[in-house]
Amino acid sequence: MFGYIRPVQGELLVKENEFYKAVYCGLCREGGKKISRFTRFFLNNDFVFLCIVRMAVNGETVCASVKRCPYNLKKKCMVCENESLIYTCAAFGILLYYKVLDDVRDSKGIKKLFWKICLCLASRMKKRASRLYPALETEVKTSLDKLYGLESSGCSSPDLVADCFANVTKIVASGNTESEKKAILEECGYHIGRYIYLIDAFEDSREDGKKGNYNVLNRYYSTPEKVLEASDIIKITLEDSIMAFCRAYEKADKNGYDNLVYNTAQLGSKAAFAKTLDKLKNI
Amino acid sequence: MTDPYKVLGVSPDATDDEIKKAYRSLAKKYHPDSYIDNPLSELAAEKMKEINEAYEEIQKQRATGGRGNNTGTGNYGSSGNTGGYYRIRQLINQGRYSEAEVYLERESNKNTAEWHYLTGVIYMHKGWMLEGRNHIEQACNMDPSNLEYRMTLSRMSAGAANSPYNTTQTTSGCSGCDICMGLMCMDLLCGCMR
Repeated sequence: MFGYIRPVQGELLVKENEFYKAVYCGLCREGGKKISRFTRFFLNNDFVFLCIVRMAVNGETVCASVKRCPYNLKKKCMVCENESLIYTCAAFGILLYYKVLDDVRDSKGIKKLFWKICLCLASRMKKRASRLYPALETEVKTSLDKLYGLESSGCSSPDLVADCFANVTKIVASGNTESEKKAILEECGYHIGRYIYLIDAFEDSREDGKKGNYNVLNRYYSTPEKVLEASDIIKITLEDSIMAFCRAYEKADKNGYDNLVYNTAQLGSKAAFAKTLDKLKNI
Repeated sequence: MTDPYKVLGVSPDATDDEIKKAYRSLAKKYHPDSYIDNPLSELAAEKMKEINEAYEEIQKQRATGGRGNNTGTGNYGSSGNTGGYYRIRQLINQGRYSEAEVYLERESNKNTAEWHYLTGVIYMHKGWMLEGRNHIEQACNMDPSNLEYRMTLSRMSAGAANSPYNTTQTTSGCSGCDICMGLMCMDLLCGCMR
């Protein structure tokens, strides 16, 4: 997970902005308490958004309190406490473990040693997360294995590869929920995952091309230069995913989260693409 | 002839079982035995005949794979709908996408606008937007006059109706500002004419 989807703060109400920060801090604290202190260093906005969508579709009420920030003791921040936060942290811990495991496989020399040390820490995270949610690990592992299999075979279909990653976010968004809401969350999680995977592939296209690493868009369009030329098509397909997400989210009961969710999805995703495109053009 | 589905009071996308159930309940309601010595007996007999004809018509249509008119919106069962594609559209409407995909793969002629359209619709529902859009655009290019294909394409870019951040703007009509601007221009022109 890479931290692309974040809200455009200028369009949010003050209370919505405060709530977003409270979820972020909640994930940091809950993750530290229940899973591992190391999740804090890797926490990103994509997970915060997934957690907010989960809370919004489930119509959860949030208990917030003011607590001292563990990294800046002078600072006090609003923190949310909720079951969804613990679940999201557990999913994050499991994903992080498999990401590190993949890095151990792919790296060589000193880097491999570094990732092996990280793996010891990540395996503790995974153990605690699996103890809390035993079914979660198996489901995530199946989808990630399929993803790594496709990547190592050099698959050139962006939809097919993104589908595997989207299935992971689908599980993260919808696990431990009721049947009716589960269907909505599955759809929402899928489209967010597809967006994240493809925008990440777009951002890394040039770097992966230089290093000779696998990148699905480089395979599809043959070179990183052609990927950049096809930026309009990529933009449209990313927007299609976001619009499909919005249509899926619309099926949920109305609640106070709507503006924050639509802001993050529609405005945030556009801003993320514009930033990525600028970055690629200026390399 | 009246739409047989309307006579039975079912949707054209209803399953065979649903149609049979609707037929049986109507037949029970209008059966002549229930109207013996009743002034409405003639009307009931007429209705019963209509129900039987409608049921037979639907059975015949479904057996041959063809179908009557369908003007439903949002469903994938309308214009240009012929032969084997009827069954596929029905599966799509019932949400059985993987089965519909298998039927589409089995089609011998994969280079028709409708084949591309239905494949695109299935991909779209799976969330495979790149492939989905490519197929639907291909269908639009092959049959530019087809409204159904173009509407589906524009539906892909439509977000949630209640989102305050939708950027789609209406192209018809004019705002209050437009009217004011028009009046000001007219006034300016009248001034010039003097």
